[in-house]
Amino acid sequence: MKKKLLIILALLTVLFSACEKVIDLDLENSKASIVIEGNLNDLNVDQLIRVTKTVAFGTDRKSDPISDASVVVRSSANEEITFVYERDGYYRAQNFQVRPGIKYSLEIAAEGEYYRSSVTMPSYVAIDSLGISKEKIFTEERYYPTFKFYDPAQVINYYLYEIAVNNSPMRFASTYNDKFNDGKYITHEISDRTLDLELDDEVRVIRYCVDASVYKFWNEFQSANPGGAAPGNPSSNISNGALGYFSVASAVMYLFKTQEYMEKVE
Amino acid sequence: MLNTKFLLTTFVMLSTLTCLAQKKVLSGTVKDANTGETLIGAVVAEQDTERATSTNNYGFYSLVLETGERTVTFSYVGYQTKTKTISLKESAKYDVELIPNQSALEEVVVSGVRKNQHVRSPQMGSFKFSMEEIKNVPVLFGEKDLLKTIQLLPGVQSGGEGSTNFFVRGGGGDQNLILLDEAIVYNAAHLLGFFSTFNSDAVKDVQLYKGGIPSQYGGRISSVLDITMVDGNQKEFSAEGGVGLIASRLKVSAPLPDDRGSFMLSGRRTYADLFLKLSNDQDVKQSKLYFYDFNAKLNYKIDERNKVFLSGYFGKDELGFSDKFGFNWGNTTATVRWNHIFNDRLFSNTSLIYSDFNYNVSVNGNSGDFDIASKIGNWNLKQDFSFYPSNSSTIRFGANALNQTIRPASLDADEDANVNSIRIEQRKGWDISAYFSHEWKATDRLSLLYGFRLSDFMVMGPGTFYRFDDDGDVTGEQYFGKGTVAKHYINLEPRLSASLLLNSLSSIKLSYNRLAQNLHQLTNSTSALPTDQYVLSSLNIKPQLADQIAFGYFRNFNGNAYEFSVESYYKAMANQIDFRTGADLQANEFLEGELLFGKGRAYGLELLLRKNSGKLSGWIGYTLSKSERKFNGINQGAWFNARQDRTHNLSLVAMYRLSDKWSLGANFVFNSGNAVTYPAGKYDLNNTTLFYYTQRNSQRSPIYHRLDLSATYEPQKSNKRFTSSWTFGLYNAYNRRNAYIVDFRENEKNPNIAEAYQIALFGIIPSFTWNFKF
Repeated sequence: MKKKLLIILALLTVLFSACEKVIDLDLENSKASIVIEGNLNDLNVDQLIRVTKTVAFGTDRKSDPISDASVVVRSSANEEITFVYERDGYYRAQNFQVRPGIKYSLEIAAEGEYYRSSVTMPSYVAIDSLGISKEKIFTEERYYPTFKFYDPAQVINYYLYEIAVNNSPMRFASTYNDKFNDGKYITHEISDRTLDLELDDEVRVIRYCVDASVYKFWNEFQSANPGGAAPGNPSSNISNGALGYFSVASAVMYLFKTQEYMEKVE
Repeated sequence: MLNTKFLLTTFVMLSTLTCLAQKKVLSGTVKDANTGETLIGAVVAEQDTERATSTNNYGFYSLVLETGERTVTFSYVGYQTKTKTISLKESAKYDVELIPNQSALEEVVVSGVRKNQHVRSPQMGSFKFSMEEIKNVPVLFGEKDLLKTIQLLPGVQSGGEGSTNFFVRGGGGDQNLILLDEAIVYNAAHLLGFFSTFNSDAVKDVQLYKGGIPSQYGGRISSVLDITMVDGNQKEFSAEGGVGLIASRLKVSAPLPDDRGSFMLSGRRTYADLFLKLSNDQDVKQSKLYFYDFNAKLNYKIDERNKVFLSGYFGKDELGFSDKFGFNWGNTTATVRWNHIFNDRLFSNTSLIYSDFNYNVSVNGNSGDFDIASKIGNWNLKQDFSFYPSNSSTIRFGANALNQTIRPASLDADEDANVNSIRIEQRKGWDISAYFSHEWKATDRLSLLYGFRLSDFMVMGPGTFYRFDDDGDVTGEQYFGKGTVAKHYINLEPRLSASLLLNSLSSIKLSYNRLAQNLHQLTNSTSALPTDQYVLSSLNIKPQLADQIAFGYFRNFNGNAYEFSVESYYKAMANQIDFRTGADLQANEFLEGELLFGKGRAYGLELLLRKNSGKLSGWIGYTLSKSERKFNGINQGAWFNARQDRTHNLSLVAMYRLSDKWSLGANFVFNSGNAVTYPAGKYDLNNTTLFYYTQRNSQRSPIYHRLDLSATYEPQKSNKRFTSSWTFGLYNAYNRRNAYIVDFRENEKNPNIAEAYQIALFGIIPSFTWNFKF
């Protein structure tokens, strides 16, 4: 529904001859804050956690890595894993397989402060079918990797998608809960936040089943819109004012070759 | 009922008693000579004395005079003043018709003591205009719009480029009471806010109160916008209309037989969607994008003492994409009024009013078919009395019972749809109130308008009410059955305005008012959307309150041709509403847990220089202002700038009558930046740049300025009956790209770099409208 509303808004914008340009603004610069990206999942046997700091808006780096943090994950199955610094803020744990139903706790010590979080890994909700759907928006044809599946009834489920188009890095695409369709046969159409998919694109999508706090973080990120009320930082599930999130999720990666799907259909 | 009767009798007796003196009452109605429209606020004064009054909302006046030969003048802006000598032996009824100035070229001779009403009246913080007065103000797409015109006044801010949403003296967009023939209009916007629901053809008179709000008004804490519809031509059949870029309009009105009254029907429809029909694409062809308005009014004179008015409004917006998505919303209002003149000193009006606002979304998508619908409505029974014991006193009192119902958005899905139906409980409330006000000329120099309003808002069952802790988590629930009162909120709202005349051309004024509000709109964007949720005061949500004091200096120049005023105000607001971070406002049973409550303060200085008559008319307004909020849970509990906080606002409106055929209009707006939250840094997560925010609304959006021009050509009348005119307009004449939205993103080529960009909505926009009248 949100998408449809956006189409209408886009139409109105076109009608009113909108015009866009890059501008220079004199922005405030605050003290750097710590950022934690903890995306543990069962796609890999190695796990990565990234610890960085915010940079000023005008900097030509995305962030500043922190190389001397202590990163430890403990589980309710009595594991204690220490992550080892690699490069660019990434800390690696080799041969660390995460399992659904286990509670994982993160503890990071960096620059004299402690940051903590814990989540329980959800089980994966299997898909029923996948494909590419074609939608015509006025004269333009758009393609969306599409997942269909039965949502388990009477439990709240949270889904998160990442997408990579051709050789682009894997990026956050969208996240959903089942508030309006608990227990139903659900369709998710996935799109990249900036790119429109072309017919000859090769697309990889990772589908995660995530914890409520991870959904909350990314949902706040995706809900922010420039016409909205004062923007804020998405609510993190990590303590002590850290930005970012800690997720332990079930995940599966899917490969789409748009053209092949379309040929099958036609 | 018994009480009303008792009061009535008392006042009738009182009025009889005061008649025992050698004084008689002249009363009647002031009307337009061409159309018979009643004139609101026309001044009736005895020549060479201080005795004067003005007509009420129904054109009625009552003036106490000594017996004998009395010379009385009747005047109204844009009309020739009429002077009449009356030989008064008994109290008499005298209806007057004033002739509109045929040629505005003749500079109207402004004379008489009563032209300084602006200085003399205790009322401050108000602005009144008729649609006739602002007809040459240039507007976007040539669609005359009173909501955009009031945004050009000091103390009133626009909700954004082209938006009809407005903020008054630092208050919120939902804190304005908008009345159309006394009916509450919930959503005054069409097409997501670009046009107002008020078709200018159907509107006679507009009165805005930003402060010193009289006690007959209540229910919103920021301002009152009281809009009166035209009654319809009492003299002969007439039709007028226009064809513009966006919409066409048609109005017909005619008298009823035997001088019994008149009726008016007015309609407007946009036709952007007609262009969609030209498309070859089936989806585009079936898409919808239009709105329409329909206004109707009938007034019927039963006899000399009784008159009945029926008026109504119906408007709807339709948006739709193919057969997949439909979205419509609209307001309905209906008012039945009965004017009764008990005697020449006591005027009564009884109103039964209904109004509602609803929206519907229907989706036929790959998740199946479902509809989302929401409705808010009220029934209001109102009794108002105006009592004129003497020329120095006008007493208004009355009571009303307002029943509000909110049906929050609910989702209805087909059996086989892949979404679940959701139903959120209705909410009901009774708002019972009574008011009293006394406008009193205490001495030659001192005038007072004081009174109070007492209201009892009752939170009504049936319904389950939840209690929440500080984190917004449910701690308990309580069920109240049908007809039970879950909670009373009783508020006493004192109101006071006073003016002290320094000399016949200048005065100082002071006002204080307290206002309470029990209906709250939860808006998460700067431009209110039709889908914004409304809530009533409840166990958790307390009535919003505002206390405002204002102080002003009023001065007229050049024989009252120029009116100047400086007003400063301070407003303290309690029980303001904001949201927790990431609040879920959609179909949420525990919605109230997502709300945060805090306080606000706003203060400012407003300058206004206005010229009402003559070849050149218009105004210059400047506002220096500040508006802040404080909430536990936002900005570390420190004061922060409200979204609508803006330091400097300048507007200039000029209308110039060049010749009998040509008239010109221009307005210029200059605003410093709004309070906004911009990033104070950036960071990287999952290969995506996120922006780091620290303080709420601590920065400023780019400055905004714009010039609009218009020219109206009215050929000389070829035949007496039919006249037509052309209006040409240029919105944003020097094509400035004002920022509508400022946002931030990764640079497309180098994701390591972040950039700020702006979207401008309207460049230069020409428009033309053809208007006719016969």
